[in-house]
Amino acid sequence: MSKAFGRNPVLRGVSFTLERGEVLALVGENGAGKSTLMNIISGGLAQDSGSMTLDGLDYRPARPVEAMRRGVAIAHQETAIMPDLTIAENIYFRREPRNALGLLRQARMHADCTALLAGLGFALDPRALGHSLPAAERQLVEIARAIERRPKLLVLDEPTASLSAHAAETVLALMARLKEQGTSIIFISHRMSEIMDAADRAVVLKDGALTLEARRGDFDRDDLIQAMVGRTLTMVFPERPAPSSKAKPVFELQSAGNAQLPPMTLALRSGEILGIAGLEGQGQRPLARALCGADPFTQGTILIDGKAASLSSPAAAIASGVASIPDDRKHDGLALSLPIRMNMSLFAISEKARFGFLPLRAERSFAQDARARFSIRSTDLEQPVGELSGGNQQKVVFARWLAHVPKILVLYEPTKGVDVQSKSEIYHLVGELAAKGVGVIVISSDLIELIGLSDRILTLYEGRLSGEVERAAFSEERIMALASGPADMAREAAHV
Amino acid sequence: MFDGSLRANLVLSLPALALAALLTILTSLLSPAFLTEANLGNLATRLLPLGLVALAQAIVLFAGRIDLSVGTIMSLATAIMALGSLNLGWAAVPLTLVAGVACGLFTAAGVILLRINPLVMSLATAAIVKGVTLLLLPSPGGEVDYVFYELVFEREALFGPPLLICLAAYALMFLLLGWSRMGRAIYAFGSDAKAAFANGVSGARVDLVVYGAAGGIAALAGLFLSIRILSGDPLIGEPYTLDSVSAAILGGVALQGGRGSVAGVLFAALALVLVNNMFNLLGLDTNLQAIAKGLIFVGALVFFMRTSKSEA
Repeated sequence: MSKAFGRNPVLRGVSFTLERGEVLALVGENGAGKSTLMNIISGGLAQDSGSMTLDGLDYRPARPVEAMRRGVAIAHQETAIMPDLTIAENIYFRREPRNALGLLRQARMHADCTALLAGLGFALDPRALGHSLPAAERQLVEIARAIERRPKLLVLDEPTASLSAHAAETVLALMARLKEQGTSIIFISHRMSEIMDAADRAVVLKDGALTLEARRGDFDRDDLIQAMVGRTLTMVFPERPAPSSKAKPVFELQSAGNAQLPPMTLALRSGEILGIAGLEGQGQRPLARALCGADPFTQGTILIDGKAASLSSPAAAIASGVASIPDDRKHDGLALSLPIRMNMSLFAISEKARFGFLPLRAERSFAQDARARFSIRSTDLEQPVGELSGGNQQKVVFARWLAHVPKILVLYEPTKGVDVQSKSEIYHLVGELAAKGVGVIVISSDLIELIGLSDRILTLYEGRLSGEVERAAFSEERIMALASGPADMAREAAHV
Repeated sequence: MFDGSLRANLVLSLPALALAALLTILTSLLSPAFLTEANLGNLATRLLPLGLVALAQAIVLFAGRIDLSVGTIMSLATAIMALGSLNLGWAAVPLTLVAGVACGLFTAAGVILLRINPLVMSLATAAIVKGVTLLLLPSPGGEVDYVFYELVFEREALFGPPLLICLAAYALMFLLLGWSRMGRAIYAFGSDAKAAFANGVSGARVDLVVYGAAGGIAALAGLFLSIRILSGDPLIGEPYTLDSVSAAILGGVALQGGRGSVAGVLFAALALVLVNNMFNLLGLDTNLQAIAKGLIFVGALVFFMRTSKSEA
């Protein structure tokens, strides 16, 4: 199977087989092509070339509804929950029980839903509206809906990414039960421990190509990571000395918060890379938006270099020396239809402007230098940014923000949809900046990235800092436990 | 009985109910002429076209779309009735309705096939329909058979045919939107089109249904309007476009789609008719009416924007 978006190939000749009652883990970094593959299987996208068979019959769903009819159900990671319908209405959507006149039986449906959710072990209220649900509950609704369709093939796209350790266990147990009933399951996961536990077979994608297909027992964690990343982790991440513990704090939050963010206190030292980990939707977005001044802090104190500072707007944040790379470069970072040259100079070289006009020569030479420095691969400076690969787009964003060395660099999901080569370049760039004394905050859902890059990791849970781990004590399990909140931490402690 | 999202949507219609009740009390206190049989009959007569066109608009808004051609479709309907009712008799009625549905389907076709922005496409339809109407009937005139008037408007009473027709249309749509799969799909599509598509909803079918239904109901509104004035008028429908959006928003329908109930729209249409009635009874300048209506519209937008924000 192959698929390209514009000039960027996202799947390159991927082939694999899944047997009845088998659980297959699809593994790969962000941007490796996993979600594209799942979308093709579930009818959301069409492949450019290649074919699928389901139970020996040709399978090429043109729309999601055709995939459903053939017995393929998907639980999306970016959940497809209708916000103004209740949980029950979402789960039974288009399969609602009806009376003899063809009218919907609302009460019956909500009762069925109560029974279904109890059977699955999900503590959800069938009458709660979609828009009132936190990320984890939306995910459970998505999973319940897929299971209620009684599919032959169940596709789960990162089912546990937003779940606490306890809820994730419930889902994994459910997968085991379905498998025994003969359901085939494909699941995407970034959590090595659950892949090792649950998968009968693992398929690894890297930059759209299949790099490993192995049965249980024939692979271990290191094989998976090697296949995902293409080389050992030490080559991907910069080798850095630990920052001096005497280094002064360059950035401090003291009980700083706003309407979406409970007050938090943290200190970032000069030259330190501070990772912020957490399950999905635990306050990462409000924190990133507060740090860049988009949804500013409204209470508490912010200190930069020990002096009170204001991040009351993006302009104020920039003036205070805070550079921020947003997670959604397509909406918050780039003007996709404009050339690289103009995207880079949007504000970076405004001091070169004369009487409000920017000399074209200055703009061009700035863009030329930046393109070389960040090794951006493009036909020329006039190529529209939308035509570049994700990795090169992200480097354009970096080039713009790093025209001057900032005091503090805030990165939010810096390598989402970025190929491994560009990732490594971005990591090394961040390492160089830290070596120059820049304090770096990395907010990311990619634990491998956080562990590889950070000197220290804080965990967010329900908007509050729930734990802190120093580099020497980094482990996926430890961080997951801290990120799962107090209840799970207590459970963890009881195990030990 | 009103379970699930239906209950949440009914809650959104309470402000309009409160406003309609308040206006009723206020006007009856201010003017002794309010609670007379003639005035109440007049209220029902005025509620019929506005109520129907607001219902048409609400159906489109539930799907997250908007139809700015409903007013001109009403005008077209009056023209067809004025030209056809004497020679064609009863056949003019289905002809009018089919013309309305065709206008709606034309808008939907532009949205589906040419991928034109729905708001802009409905404006284009409005321009075309207006042109066709003016070709058919360049100035107010024609004649609508008095038989129709006798049937609908002769007896001036609150609980006469106009009110019953209006209530029946609302009851039918309340049932279809709340208790049919198509109704659920319309709400789902308006709530989140992408999510609805991922769950098997055909956006094209939703567009055809909502615009087709809106066109037909708008034509029905125009039909009753022509019966009331016993003639046609190529421009009479135009103010109803804004009034229809106004009533829908005031009734708790979200501009973004997916929220609100036709119950609220009925209360809001009633409130707008009451404002009109109050101004007339108190002998206030009609231009003040337009200003008051515009302010009510803005007020409703602000009020419902606040409430939806505080929920999110």
